[in-house]
Amino acid sequence: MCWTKRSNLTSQLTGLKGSAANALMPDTIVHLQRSSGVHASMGQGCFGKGVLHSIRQVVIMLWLNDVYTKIYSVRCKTSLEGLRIGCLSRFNDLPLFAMHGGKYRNTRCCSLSLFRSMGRVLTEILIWFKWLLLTRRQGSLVRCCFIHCAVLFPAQTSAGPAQLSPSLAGLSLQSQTPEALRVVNLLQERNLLPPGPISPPTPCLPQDLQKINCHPEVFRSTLTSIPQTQSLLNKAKLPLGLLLHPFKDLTQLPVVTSSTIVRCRSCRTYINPFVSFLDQRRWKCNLCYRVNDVPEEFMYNPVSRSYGEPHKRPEVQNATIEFIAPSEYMLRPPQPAVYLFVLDVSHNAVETGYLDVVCQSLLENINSLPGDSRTKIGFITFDSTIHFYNLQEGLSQPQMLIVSDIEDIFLPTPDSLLVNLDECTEMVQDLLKSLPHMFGKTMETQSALGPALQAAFKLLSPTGGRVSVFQTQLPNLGVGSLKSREDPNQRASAKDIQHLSPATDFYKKLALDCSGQQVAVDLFLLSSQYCDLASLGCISRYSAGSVYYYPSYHQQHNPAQVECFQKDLKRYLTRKIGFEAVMRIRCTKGLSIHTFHGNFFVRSTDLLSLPNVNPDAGFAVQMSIEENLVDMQVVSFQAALLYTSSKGERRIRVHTLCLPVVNSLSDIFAGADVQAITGLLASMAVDRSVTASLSDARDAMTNASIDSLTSYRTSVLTIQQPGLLAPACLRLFPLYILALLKQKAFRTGTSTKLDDRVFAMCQLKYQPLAYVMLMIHPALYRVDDLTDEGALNISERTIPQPRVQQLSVEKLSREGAFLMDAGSVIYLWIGRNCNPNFLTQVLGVPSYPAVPQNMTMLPELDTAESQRTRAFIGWLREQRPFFPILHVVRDESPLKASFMQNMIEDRTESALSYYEFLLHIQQQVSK
Amino acid sequence: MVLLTMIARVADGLPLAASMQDDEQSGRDLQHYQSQAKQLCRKLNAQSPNRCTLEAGVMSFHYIIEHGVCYLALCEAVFPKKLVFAYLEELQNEFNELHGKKVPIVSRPYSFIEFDMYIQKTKKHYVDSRTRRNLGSINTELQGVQRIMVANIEEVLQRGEALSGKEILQRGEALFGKEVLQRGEASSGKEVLQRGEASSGKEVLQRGEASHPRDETQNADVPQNQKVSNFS
Repeated sequence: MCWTKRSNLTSQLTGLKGSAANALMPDTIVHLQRSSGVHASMGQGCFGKGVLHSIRQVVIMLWLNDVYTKIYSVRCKTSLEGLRIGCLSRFNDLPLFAMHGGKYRNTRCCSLSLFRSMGRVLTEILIWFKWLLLTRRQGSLVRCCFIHCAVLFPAQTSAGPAQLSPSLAGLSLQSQTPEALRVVNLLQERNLLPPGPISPPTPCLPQDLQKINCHPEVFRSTLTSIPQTQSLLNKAKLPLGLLLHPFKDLTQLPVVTSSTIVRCRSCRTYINPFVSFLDQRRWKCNLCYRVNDVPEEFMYNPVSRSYGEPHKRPEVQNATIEFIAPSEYMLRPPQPAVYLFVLDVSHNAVETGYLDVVCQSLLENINSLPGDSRTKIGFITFDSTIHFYNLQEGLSQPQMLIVSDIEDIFLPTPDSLLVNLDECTEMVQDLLKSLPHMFGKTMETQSALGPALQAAFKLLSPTGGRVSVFQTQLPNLGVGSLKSREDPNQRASAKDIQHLSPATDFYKKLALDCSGQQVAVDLFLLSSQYCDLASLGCISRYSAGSVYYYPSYHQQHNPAQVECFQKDLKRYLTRKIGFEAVMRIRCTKGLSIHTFHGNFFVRSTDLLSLPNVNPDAGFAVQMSIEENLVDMQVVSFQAALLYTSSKGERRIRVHTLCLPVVNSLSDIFAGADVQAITGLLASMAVDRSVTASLSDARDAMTNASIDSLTSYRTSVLTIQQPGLLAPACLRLFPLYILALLKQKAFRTGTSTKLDDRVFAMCQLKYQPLAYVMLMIHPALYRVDDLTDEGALNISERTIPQPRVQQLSVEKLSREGAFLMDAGSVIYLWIGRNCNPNFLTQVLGVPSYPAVPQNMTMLPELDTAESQRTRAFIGWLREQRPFFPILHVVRDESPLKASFMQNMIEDRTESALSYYEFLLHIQQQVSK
Repeated sequence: MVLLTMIARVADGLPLAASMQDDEQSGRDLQHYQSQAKQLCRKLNAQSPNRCTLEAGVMSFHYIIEHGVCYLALCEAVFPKKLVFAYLEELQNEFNELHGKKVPIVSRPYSFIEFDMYIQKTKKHYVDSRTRRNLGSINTELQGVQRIMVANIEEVLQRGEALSGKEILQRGEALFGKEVLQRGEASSGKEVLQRGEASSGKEVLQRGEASHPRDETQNADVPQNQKVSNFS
């Protein structure tokens, strides 16, 4: 075999991209360069199987302080396996590593990953160097260290370089200043929004770990690089926490059935991709570091049907996995799906006409309710008395039983109030058809919600299940009755907002009782008047339910709200549901979780009790670093959700997230996830508003941005420049904080109904991050000139991708049409002089004045423009589980104000513009 | 009153179906009995007597084993035995008909949980002991009931061994004296005894010792005081 070595070093250092690689002869050395100045790259794909076997020698060289040193060279003799071992062991005693022995010990090299093929070896080495460069970026030792890796191909290999070249361009290594740390002067750079959706930062992990890491939509951290100590975290002034969407609808979810679920014997962590195998028989827990035995069963891999490869089991290959639980995980037989509907039928309720929609939706979806042949259903209606319905099979029609003693509520008959859905479908349908008319002439105005909830609790407590409460007014009879606390004159007050906390603890106490019996209460509030959501909301908050709010709901006067209610109900009735659930979040020793956000009851320090869990619920936790994480390269977090499916299966869904530990401030900043930080701060601010005051919460949010930017300026930046400087990854931080201050939940000086405000707060706390972000900072697109340029192609549909615009009126133009996506609602604003083409081709109207006042749907026109617009809106809607209503907004529309309120970069009477806000922050930062 | 019904596979104690107990109505906490029932099912094996009554204070467990499946019911001790066994028989017939063939191949606990519907209906017929239908079934079932062996649940569970016919007979002797035993001997005692000695003697004991301590450690992982939590 003939080996030649390329001698021209300078040409190597200038970089090797695409064409340069092509120019290499197949039998010469292929050089891959790593250096601070040169970007070169190698994807995993370049070592296809064919090439792998023909590689015979690996040379790894270092360019250190102008001396080109060959630090390692090995010939592959017989097996790739041999090379692996040789390579690793030689690696450890290289001069470089001796030099940094204190920091980069041998363990790092070994635990990095399981090298399985030579292709992997090279990839790993390169990735590892990348990591090293990043970590040492601020240090001086590796200041001019060029890492050089050469792969030698034997003469007969023709495939090598040809395959190598395309991948060279693919993966670019980060240089000494990664993009995340690029210094941005916020006062000068105005256009900071990326054109499309903002993707979360990628943790700085070896590629093979990152590849299997938990998806950020399910599990993400505010800091993708975890500080080594609490004092370092304090210095960075950024909040540390996790955001979870544990029961998200997933298209792909590996499910494992096995009689023993492998868990750590001391901390009970589920085995996951980030544990290390000491040998085939022992694994080391990545949370508590205990060494555990690998059970015999685990040695067999059911997927590949092979024996002796525990590291290839699905549990070790997937960061999100579901187990079918054995009977040890059940203390009673799995409960059936039980649904109870509690409906307000007072005069006020009948007046809104909501009963029609509820009954109609239920009739339509009665066969799509999640469940099996055991599914049970029941109904309670209430005004000043409580009405039960006997739906027993064999009766000629549903029997109404009225309990007027609301002081001491009891069940009028022991059974048949909850009936089997399969057996009594006809009876249920009968009832649903007659319910809307039954109370047509009622004059009863009182509402005994408290007693009705007590009745619901009594009915469901033997089995557990879901209660759906529909309420249209302030409850004013019996336990839990409330008084109006809202002073309409104070809605626009710039002073502190009162009454954000509950007026009575009745709802919280009842919710805790419900939680103990595995009952969750979902609240649908349809009301035009103040309902004291701050008090009522407790019933859902502590029983892990959800809250829906439809202000000024009315069948005739508010058709858009009716449509929204219909769509939401459909989703609500048919979405997946988990019963009698608990969720536990574990993290590596040294880290500790101290505060939880979302709807649940905290049963023990890390255990959340969730009588129901639904796919639209999000959670957040705050963390602190109790013990220094020295000697740890990575830490892991694991969320395990144990639930009973609607089919009576007990299942455990496990998500594991792995993140690197860093010890310098700049690395912490480089890994900051601005969206997650904003989401967590919003949840914290809601708590602060309730426990302290709204102004306190507002100050805290502003200070969060000031403090972190101050810390960045004083501790990370070496050269002081004028202006407001932020690392690129935090460039949107002040904008998001300003958006939060102008959000319904926290704004002052703008008229906001108390219930609207409290509902916004609820949403910030339990919605998953993706929807929270749209709520905080809506996306604005110009849609009158949509083109197919850069469009997405999803299953033969072309979806145009317009640029995201800044939320400022200066971006709007009278000649255009703009779409604003605010999560639960989408506005389509039409400029007065809008392109007539758009009006006729998309809206189907001849001129601007002809645009209908309450347009909520686009006509299906057979034009390219119409198709593009509808495809785009349809695509936006598909990405979330609920249905955002589309409002077409003109200048005269009443909704114009809501649209304009989202223009958060602009100045309002009571709030600063974005630029003024930046100046304010700059002033504080430079102090 | 039948408070709890459980159907399990004898080979490994895997629960196949169960009827949810109604805590609210009976006003009792059945959690304790629930876990006893589970443990009991784990202790059964092919050598266990196929009909047995186990006393648990004011309550009694009754079970029958047919085709490798155990049908277990918890009743008040005063509830007529013959009714319980007639009830279990009826469940057995229906369950075997519907799911009998699938029993050996399932691996998920409570795979036939939907059988609960049938259990609940059947239970209703038997709860009211005045029903004429029940009286009819009593007469036919009456014969066998006298011979059913009796033991105490706590002692069975605490022994940590597989439940076998021989020991129950011995216990029967201690508890009820000669009468029961003689009656037992007269009809089926000898057979059971011999079978017990021949097959379930040493082998079973050894197996029991070998396998059950492990079972118990598994059990211990589950916090019994928490209702659903199993993350310990």
